[in-house]
Amino acid sequence: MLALAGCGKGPVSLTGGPSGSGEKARARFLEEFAKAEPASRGSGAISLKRGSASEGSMDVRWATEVDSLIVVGYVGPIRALDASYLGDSLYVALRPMDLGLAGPILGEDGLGPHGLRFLARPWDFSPGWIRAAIEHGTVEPWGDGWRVAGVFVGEATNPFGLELSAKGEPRRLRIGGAGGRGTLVTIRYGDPKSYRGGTLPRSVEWERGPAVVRLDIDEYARPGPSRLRHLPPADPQWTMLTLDDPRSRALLRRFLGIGEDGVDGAEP
Amino acid sequence: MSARGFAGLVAAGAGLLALALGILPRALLGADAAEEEVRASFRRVLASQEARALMAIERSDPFGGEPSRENGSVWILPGRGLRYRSSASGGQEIVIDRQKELFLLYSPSERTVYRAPYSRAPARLRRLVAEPEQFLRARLDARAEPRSIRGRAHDGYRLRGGSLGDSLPEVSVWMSRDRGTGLPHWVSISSPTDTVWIEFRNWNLASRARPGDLVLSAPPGTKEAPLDPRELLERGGGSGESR
Repeated sequence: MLALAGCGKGPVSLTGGPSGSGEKARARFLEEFAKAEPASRGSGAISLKRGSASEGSMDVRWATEVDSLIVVGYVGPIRALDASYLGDSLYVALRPMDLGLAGPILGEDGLGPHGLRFLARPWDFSPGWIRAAIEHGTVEPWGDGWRVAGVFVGEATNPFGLELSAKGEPRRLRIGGAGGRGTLVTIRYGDPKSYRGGTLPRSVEWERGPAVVRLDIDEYARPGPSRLRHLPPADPQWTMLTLDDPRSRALLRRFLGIGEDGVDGAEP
Repeated sequence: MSARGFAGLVAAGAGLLALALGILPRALLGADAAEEEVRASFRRVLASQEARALMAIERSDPFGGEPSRENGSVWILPGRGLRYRSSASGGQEIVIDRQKELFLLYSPSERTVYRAPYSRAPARLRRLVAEPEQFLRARLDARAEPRSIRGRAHDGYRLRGGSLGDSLPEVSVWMSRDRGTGLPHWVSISSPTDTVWIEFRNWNLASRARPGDLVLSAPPGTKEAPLDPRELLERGGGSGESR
């Protein structure tokens, strides 16, 4: 009756499981969240927690165009971080440290170059290998919603479990390590919100080990594909490290949890 | 990114203040009227015992979105130290105190004061504090150039961007003086990707310095943590000073 009145909440069965069809929920999910994103722009705040301790925040702005992504981070009014991911090439500049990291993402790095691109904007399920895996996954009731389980086949084979609400909205995505060994990363999605550029979760959390990186999205738009600005080049006096340098690994591990060898023990 | 990561970035990134307050005058040299006017404007600030002002900082979105804005206050004690305090909720506060050999960053949102020795403060800010006269000696190539800010025309000067020596290459710098006081009013710093506008208002040039103005507003008992943005590279042989 409430649904008929237009409150927007789907009916929930009295037995505690979801009502309706899991197939329909998946179809709704794909229709809303697996649309190609040729170009986008957004802004928000990113923060890090390690355990229960807050470890700082940063305002970020980003733009994407086809497979390219550029992120700029500010602490207060200060431009502190530049990052770009063009093709398979990653560049990160920590401006106040006069430090840059650069190099290709290799296939054996986590989910590989395609996987990193997805993890950087995990609300876009349109890449063919992601969409196909969800289409072919098995759907089962999960709490008051649904869970799609399957395997991402990219540089490696990674099992996943995607939890959806009864209405087909993403709630949580757990990606297992290669060959099903533990959990590589868990992504939690906030409630969907209508932005100028479409519907997106209002927040995204990446959990890896004890570290949780959270992005609260303030603005999301789909501009014409011409706003992507390449970053200023690195200063000649900066320290530039390649991604395979142990110091780069240490930094990425410290900041983002990227490149950690271990995985969680939980099943995806 | 960890607290020390973020805090280190903001602290080391305090060079924005240096850009606005210090690097410009460093480029000042020359005999023509434009350069003299710009130099005189900054000299009054740097030759005072203490200069206080309100700052409004606006940064454009490199991707075409709405600009970000922040308001704050700055206290400059030439020869002694500098403090910047954001008025934003949870905004950071920075103190560089040469006499106490301190470089402090207070993050209200983290309820933490990050502490480092003076030598860890950005070198440009240290130069501004320790050798303000040095900032009044370099070539600027100032050229008169009016600009429109929020629909209102302002007389000002384009300065030689290459003299900045900042990490951002191809930087274009422009400043204007307050019509009434002649003190610095607007400073804009433009890179190929974005522009920062800094507005100084309500300059107060005191005849006596108040060292108490270099005290953080953190409540007593606020947790302290070391701040060293280069500690992450220590094993890799990073230099001991922030540039």
